[in-house]
Amino acid sequence: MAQVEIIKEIEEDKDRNLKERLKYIDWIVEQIRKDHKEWLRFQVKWLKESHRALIELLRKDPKIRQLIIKEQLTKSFNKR
Amino acid sequence: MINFKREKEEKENIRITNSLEFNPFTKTIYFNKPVLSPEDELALKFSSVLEKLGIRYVIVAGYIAVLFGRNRRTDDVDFIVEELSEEKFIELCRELGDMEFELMQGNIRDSKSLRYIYYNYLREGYRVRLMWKNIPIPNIELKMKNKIIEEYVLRNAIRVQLLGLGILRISPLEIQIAYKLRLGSIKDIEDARFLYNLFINILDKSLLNEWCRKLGVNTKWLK
Repeated sequence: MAQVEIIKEIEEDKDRNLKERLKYIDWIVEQIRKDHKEWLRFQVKWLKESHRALIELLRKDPKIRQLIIKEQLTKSFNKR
Repeated sequence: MINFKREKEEKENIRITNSLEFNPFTKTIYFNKPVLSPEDELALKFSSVLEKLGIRYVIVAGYIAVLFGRNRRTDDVDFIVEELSEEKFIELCRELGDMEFELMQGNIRDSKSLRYIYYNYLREGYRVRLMWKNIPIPNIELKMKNKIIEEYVLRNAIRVQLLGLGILRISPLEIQIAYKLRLGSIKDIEDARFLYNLFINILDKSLLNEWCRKLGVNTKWLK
């Protein structure tokens, strides 16, 4: 199989995947249009749980905090 | 006369959802958010200091989609501020330190450290990260404007009035969408599609097209 064909196949697959994911985004916006307040309660609950889990992780292993900071600073440096 | 003006402006509010309204006169989004996420609390706390000190700022990037309900996490809330003098930066850090913010790159209570950060990071176009209450995620990523597009979004920021909670100034949505398309990762395209669909009734389509043209992106993933 020629290199061009392989790349074409990968690109087509990438596009298909993205189209599927965007359908899901459209579904989310549909839910928001139906009842934004309810959606926000659900979204914030999820974000808070995720935040609580992180705090718990930091409490159990303080080294993680330093690792996260290092990773965040590397990200900033690369963004310049 | 003032009341008449306000009445007229209120009548002009465009309903977007049962939580969102937009006033094109004042370029204000009224947002009745029933609960706040950790990201919202962080952004509001930080912006309240900038508002207090009269520092022009604008929030850009992923947090804007998260603010309005996109169900994903973001590591940081990105703030762009106007050019600050060294003294103003130190004053800002003093206020932030009083509100339990810490700098990741230095000591927020040490003037020498702040000067170093100002000249070696902010003035050089690097970003500075701040965490609140010692929790590293989500954090604030702060940079001073140094690009044409950053000056534009600062000048044209739209107000998000979180009812009863405070104000956030965010990038014009049209530019945010075009910029996200330019960045081009799956996450960015999803954010762009989310904002486009949610705000479709209030977007200035010619402005969006103009910015898509300027940034060399096409809008095929939006529709």
